[in-house]
Amino acid sequence: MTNGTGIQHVSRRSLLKSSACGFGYLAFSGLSNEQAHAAHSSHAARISHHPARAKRVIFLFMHGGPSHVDLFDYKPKLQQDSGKDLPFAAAKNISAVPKLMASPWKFAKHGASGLWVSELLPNIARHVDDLCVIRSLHSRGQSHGQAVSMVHTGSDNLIRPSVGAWISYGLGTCNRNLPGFVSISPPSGHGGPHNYGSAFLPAAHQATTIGRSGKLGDARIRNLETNAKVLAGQRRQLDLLQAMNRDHLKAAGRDDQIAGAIESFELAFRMQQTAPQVLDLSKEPQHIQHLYGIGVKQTDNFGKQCLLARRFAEAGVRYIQVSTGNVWDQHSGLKVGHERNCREVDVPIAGLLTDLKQRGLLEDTLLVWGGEFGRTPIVQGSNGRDHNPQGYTMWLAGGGVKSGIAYGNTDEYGYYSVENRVHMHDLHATILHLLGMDHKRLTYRYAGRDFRLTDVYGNVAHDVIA
Amino acid sequence: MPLFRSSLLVLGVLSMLPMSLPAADAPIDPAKLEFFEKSVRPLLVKHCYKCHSSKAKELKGGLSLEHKQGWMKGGDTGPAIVPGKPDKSLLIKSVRYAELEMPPDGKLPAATIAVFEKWVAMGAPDPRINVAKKPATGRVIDFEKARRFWAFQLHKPHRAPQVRNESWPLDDIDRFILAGLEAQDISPNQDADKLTWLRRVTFDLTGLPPALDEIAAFQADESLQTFTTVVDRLLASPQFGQHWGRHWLDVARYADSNGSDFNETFFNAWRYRNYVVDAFNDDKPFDQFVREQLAGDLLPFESDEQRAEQLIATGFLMIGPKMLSERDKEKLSMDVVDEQIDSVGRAFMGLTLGCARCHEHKFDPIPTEDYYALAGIFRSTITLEGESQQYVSTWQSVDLPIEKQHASALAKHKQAKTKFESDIKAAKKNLKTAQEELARVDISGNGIIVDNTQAKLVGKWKDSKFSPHFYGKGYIHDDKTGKGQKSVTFVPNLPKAGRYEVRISYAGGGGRDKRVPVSIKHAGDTQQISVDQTKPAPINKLFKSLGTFRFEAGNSGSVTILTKGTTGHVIADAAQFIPADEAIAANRTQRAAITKARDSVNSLNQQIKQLQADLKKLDKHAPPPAPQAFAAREAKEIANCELRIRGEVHRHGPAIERGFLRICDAELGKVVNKEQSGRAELANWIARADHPLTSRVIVNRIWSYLLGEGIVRSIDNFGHLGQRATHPELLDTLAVNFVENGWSVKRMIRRIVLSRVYRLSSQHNKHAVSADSENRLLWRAHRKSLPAEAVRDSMLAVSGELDLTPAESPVKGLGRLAIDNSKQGSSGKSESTSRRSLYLPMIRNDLPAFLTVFDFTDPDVVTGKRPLTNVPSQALTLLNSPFVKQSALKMAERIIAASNDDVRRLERIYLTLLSRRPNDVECERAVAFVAEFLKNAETSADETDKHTMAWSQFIHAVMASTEFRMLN
Repeated sequence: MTNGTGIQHVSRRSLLKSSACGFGYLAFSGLSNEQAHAAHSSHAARISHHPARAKRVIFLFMHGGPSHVDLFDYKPKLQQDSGKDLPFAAAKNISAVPKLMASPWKFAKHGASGLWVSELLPNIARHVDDLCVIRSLHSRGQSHGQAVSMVHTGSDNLIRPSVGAWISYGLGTCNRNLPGFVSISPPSGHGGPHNYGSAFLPAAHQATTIGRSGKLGDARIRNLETNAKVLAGQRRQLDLLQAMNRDHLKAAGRDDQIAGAIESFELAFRMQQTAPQVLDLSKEPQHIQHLYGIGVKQTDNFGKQCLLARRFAEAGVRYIQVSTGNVWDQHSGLKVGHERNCREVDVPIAGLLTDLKQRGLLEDTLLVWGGEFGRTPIVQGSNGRDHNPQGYTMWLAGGGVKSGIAYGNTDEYGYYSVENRVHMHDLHATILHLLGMDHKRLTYRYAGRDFRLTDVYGNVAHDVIA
Repeated sequence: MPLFRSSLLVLGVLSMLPMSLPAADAPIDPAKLEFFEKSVRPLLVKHCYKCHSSKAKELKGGLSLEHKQGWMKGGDTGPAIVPGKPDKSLLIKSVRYAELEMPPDGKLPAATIAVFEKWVAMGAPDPRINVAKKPATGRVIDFEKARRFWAFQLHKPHRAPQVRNESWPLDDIDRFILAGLEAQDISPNQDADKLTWLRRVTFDLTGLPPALDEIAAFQADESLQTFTTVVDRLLASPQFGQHWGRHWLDVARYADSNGSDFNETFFNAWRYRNYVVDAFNDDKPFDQFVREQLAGDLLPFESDEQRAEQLIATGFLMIGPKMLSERDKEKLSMDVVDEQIDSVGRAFMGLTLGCARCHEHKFDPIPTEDYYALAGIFRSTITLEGESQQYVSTWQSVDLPIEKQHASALAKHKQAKTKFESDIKAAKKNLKTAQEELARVDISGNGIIVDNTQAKLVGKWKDSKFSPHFYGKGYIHDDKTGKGQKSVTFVPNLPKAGRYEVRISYAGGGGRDKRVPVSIKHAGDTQQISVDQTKPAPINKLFKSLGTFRFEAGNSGSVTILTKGTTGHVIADAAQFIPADEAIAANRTQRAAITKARDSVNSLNQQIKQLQADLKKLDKHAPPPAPQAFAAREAKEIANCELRIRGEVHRHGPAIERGFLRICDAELGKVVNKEQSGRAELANWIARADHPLTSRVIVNRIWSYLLGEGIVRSIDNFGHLGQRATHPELLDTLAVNFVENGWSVKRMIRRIVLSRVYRLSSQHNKHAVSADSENRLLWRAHRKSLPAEAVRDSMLAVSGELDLTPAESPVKGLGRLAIDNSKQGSSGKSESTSRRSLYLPMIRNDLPAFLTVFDFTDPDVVTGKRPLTNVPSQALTLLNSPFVKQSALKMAERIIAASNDDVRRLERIYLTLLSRRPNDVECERAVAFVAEFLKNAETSADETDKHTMAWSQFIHAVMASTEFRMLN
C-alpha cells in the first residue's frame, strides 16, 4: 500500500505473517547463537511464543521524570492539604522536605471514560478514551542513572541489553533493508548508548540512531550515502569490491565471516536506497505535518520525531523510541519547566495518536509513554519536586491494551504505588507479552547463564490487556 | 531455566547453619487455636499461599508459610516470625511495608495487618505441620572434590609427545599440536607463504602492516634466521607495546571517563595507559605487573620514578564505571567493591567472582564467605571519596613525586600568583572606597542615561559586543544597510526643567562612519551635529559631549542618531543627560570633587584591569600542574566486611575475616598484616608461581591473541561454565615455562610465533573440516579479523599520515563531565589526531565511532576477546566514511607520484595494502575499472585530478575488501 508519500510500505498483512519474512530462525539451527549472528547480519524474524497483539512498539520517553501528580494522577487530597506535613514517611535519600505541594494546574475529566488529565495536556486529553493509564508504576533508582537504566534495560546497574534490542532479537524486522530497532534522539547522558545498546546480544540488535539528546538535528543516519548520483558510481565500485571479496572467499575455500561481509555490503547498499525515503518528511502532505505541529516553533522538533516514528513503524521497524531531552527534571521551577515541556510534546503526541488511528496502525502498534520516574507530591525548594520512583504514571495505547481505563493507584497524595502495583519489570513483561513473547522464555545464553530482560522478576499485568 | 530465578531457591548462608528444629509441639490453647483457624489461616491462604506454599509454581524467596516449620526456618532472609515479637518479625515488617513489601501487589488493609500482629504477639500459635518435608536445598561445597577440577589443580610440565612426522615440529609446541592431529588422522595444512606469514606476524605484534622495505628485505633474506630476524625486530619496536598494551587495556576495562550516570572525565587515566604500554615494551615480568596494579602503593621503591610508576599502576582498580549519583552510598560502596572483585577475578584468574555476592557461586566452588573475605580488602581501600555535588560521589587524585626543578617552578609561580591576587584584592578594596566617595559627593550621580535597549529604533539594528567600550550589555549598529532609513532615538525622562550636558556613547573604532549625523531636540529647537565614530570617544573611551542644552521636564527632549549620508558602520549605544544648572545639579566646588572622585574610580578600574591581564598572562605561562595519578589508597579504617545476606546491602550477616579464595589453596588463606587492607598480600597470593590460574590465564590470553582462539576458548572464564582446554598439557607446559622464564611476555610471544603451528595456512580443507569443523586441533590457522585500531591505524599508515609519537592526555580540554547529562554531546574533544588509535580519547558512552563500528571493546567490562560481528554499519563506514575516502585519496596521490606505470602502481597498492602482488586477472580488472571511471568522468575535469580520483576509488575498494581487514 502507499500512503500518498510515494513510499512502498510493507503491508500489514505481510507484517502479520512475520515468520515468513527474511531468512528464518530455523536457518540457524545447529549453530550457536553467537556463531549464527557472527556469520549473518540476522535481521531475521522469529517465532512467537503465543499470538501477538502488537507487532511493534513506539516508546515516547520523557527524559528527566515528568510529574504524574501534575499530569495524569489527580489527587484532590493533595490540593486540599497543600503546605501540610506529609502524614507518613518520605522515601530515603531525597532533598524534598515532607511538606505537601498542590499541583498548580487544574484537572478535568475527559472523554467518555472520564479520566482525569490536567490542563497541561489539552490535546492528549482529547485522546483519553484510547489510553490505558497505569497509575501504579514503581521502579528502582532514586537517581536518574539507575532509573533511566531500569526503564531501558530492566537493570539499574549492570550492563544489560536494552528493551528494543531484546525485541529486535526476539522478533527480528520485517524489512530486510532496515534495522529492527531505531532510536530517535536518544539520551547522550545517563548511560548514553547503553540505553539503546545490545550488550551481549548480537550487535545487529542495537539501535540505529538518528539525532541525539532530544534533538533531531539533520535527521541523518551516520555514514549513509543518499545522493543518487554518488550511489550510481558507488554501485560500480561495489561491484569491483564484491568481486574481490568473492575471490577472497574462493581462495579461502569456505569462510562464514567473508560470506557474511559480502551479504552485509549488499544489505548496506539496499539500506541506502530505502532509509532516505523513510527519513524524508518533506513528502508528507501539509495537513499531516500540521497534525504533528511541524512548522510551529515549539512543536517542530518533537513533531518531526513523532512523524518519523510513524514512518519507521509503517516501514516494518519493530521498536522505535522517541526521546525528549533531559528536560523534565524540575527540582525547581516546576511551573515554567512543565508548561514549556508539555507545550512541546502535547500536540505532537496527540497528532501521532490521531495519525496511527486513522491509518489503522494503532491496532497493532503499542504506544508507551513515560519517564524514568515521577515526581514527589512534596516540595523541593519553594517550587520544585524531587525524583519519585516509588509511584508514578505511564500510559499505554493501542497494541492490544484496554482503552479508556486507569489501572492501579498511588496513595491519597500520589507518593507510593499502593494498589495493583506495576513494577518496571512487570511493564517490560507486559510489553513482551503483547508482542507474543513470554518474558521468561525470551532468554539469551551469555557467559554460561541464561539472561532475561526481566531478570528473575516480572509479572504480566493481565488486567490491562484487552 | 534462567539462572537467577533458580538461584532464589538456593538458600543463603544463614540457612546453611544448622537450624534448631521445634521441640515436640505442646498442645495449643483452644482459644488461640480458634483465633488462628478463624482469623489467621484464611488470611494466610488468601494473601500468602500464592507464592509461599506448595501451590506456588516456585517458592518465592525460599519461604513457605504453609506450615510452622516453614516460617520458623524461614526463607533466604531468615526466620519469618519471632513468636511474641511482632516488631522483630520479618513477616510483620513486610506486611507493614517497612522492610520487604508484602504482598507485592498492594499493602493490606490496616485491620488485616492488625490480625497478623495480634497473632504473632500471642506467640504465633500454629497447628499446621509439614507433611511433605522436602530435603534441604542448601549447597555445601566439598572443597576436596572441587579441587579435582582441572583449573584448580596445580599445573605441571608435561613431556612433549612423540609424533609420527618428526620433520614437522619446529618447537615442542608443535609436538603437542601434531600429536592431537595425528590421533584424529588429520594432516595439518601447508605453511602459509612467506608474505602471508609476514603480514600476519607484523599485525599480530605491532598492529600495523609491514612496510614496503620490510617486505623487500624479508623476501631477499634467504638465511635460516630470516623468521627470527623479523620477530626480534618487531618485538624491539615501540609499536609492540602500543599494540600489546592495548590488549591489556581491554582486559583492564580502560577508559578516559567514568561513563555510567555521571560521565566524569578521568584526567589522569592516560598515565595508567602509558604505564601499560611501557610495561609491555620493557617486558616487565608479568607477576610484577600484577602486583603493581593491585598494590603498587604498598610496594617498596628505590626511586621517585619507581614510586610514581607503582602508584599509577593501581589505576587498574580505579578505572571501572561507577554509578556516582547513587544516593545510597553504602550500596555504591558495595557496588564499587563488587566491580573490583569481579574485574580482578576475570582479569587475573579467569573466574567470575561477582556471582558469589548474592549466593554461593552456582557452578564454581566460591562460597559467599570468600567473596566477602575479598570485599573486606577492597572496602579497606579508598576508591571514591567526597562528593562533587549533592549526592554525586567523586574521587581524589593522588600526588605523584615531583622533580625538584618542576616543584620550584611551581612554587615560584604560586608566589607570583599570590602577589597578583593580593594586589588585585587591595585595588578592589580601594575601588570600593573610591566608589563610596563618588557616591557621597556626586549627589546627582551621572545624570540620566538612556541605553540602546530603551531607545526607539527605526529599521533593523544588529546587536554587538565586538568593541569592548560600551555602556550596559552591548550596543547596536546599522550593519551598513538601509542607509538613511534607519535611526535610533534616545528619549530621557527628565525630573526638572533646566540645562543639561548631552553626551552619547558609540564604541568608537575603525570601520565606523566619520560623519554620523546626530540630532538633539531640546526646549528651543532641534540642532544637528556630526560625530566622528572612527575614534574612541574622549571621555573614558565611552562618552562624547555634544554640548549643553535646555530641556523641559518630562520626555519632550531627545537625541537621535541618524544614518543619512553615512557609508561606514553607524553605532548607537547610549545617551547621557547630566544636569548643568546649579539649581538642578552640583555647584562648581562639588563638581570638582566629583571629577576628582570619578578620576580616582576610573584609574583604579584601569589598574585592576591591568593586574588581571597580567595574571592571565602569568597563568598562561604557568609550569604544568604537579603530576597526579588516578590511584588507589589505603583507607584510614581497615576493617573486615560483613557478609550481606542475599547480596542485599543493608542486610548484614557476620563480619568475614579478610582473606582469599579457598579453592586455590590447600589451606584457608587469610590476611596476616591486620594493619593493612590486605591488597599487598592479595597481589602476592595471585602473582605466585604456584597459583593454579594466574599463569595459565595469561599464557592462554597470549595464545589467543596470536592463534585467534585460546587453548581455553572462554578466555575470561576458566570455571565450570567455561570451556575445557583443547590442549591441556600444552597449556600447562607453557604456563610452567612462562614462570620459569621470569614471567616474560615477550619470550612467550617469540616462542609461539616461531612455531610451526603459527605458520600454517588458513586454507579450508574438506577432510579436516569433517573431522574437526571448529578447528579445535589447529590443523589450519584461524583467519583473524584485524582489530578496530589496526583497521584505522593501517589506513593512516598507508596514506602516509600516521604519527607514531606517543601521546599524553587525550582529555585535556574536557570539562569535569566528559558528557553533560542535560546538554548535547561531549564538552569538546578532538578525534582528528593522526596518532595511533590507542591514544584517542576513550570517553565511555561516546567512544570513537569508527572504532566501535569495528567491534572495539566495551570498556565497561573486562574483555579478553572482543565479539566479532558482521553488521551493515561496517559496510556503510567502509563505503562512505570521510576518513576512509580521505585515506584512499592520500594514498592515491602517493601512488601516482611514485610511478607512471599502471602495473607498477598496482603492484605498489597490493603490496602496501595486502602484502602481496596482484595476479593477472586482478591487474586486468583494476585497469578496466580505472578506464571505466575515466570514461564516465566529466570531460571538463582536470586530467591529473581525474586520474587521482580513479585510483583513489580503486584503492578505496581494496581498503573495504575482506582481504584488507583480515589476516589470512
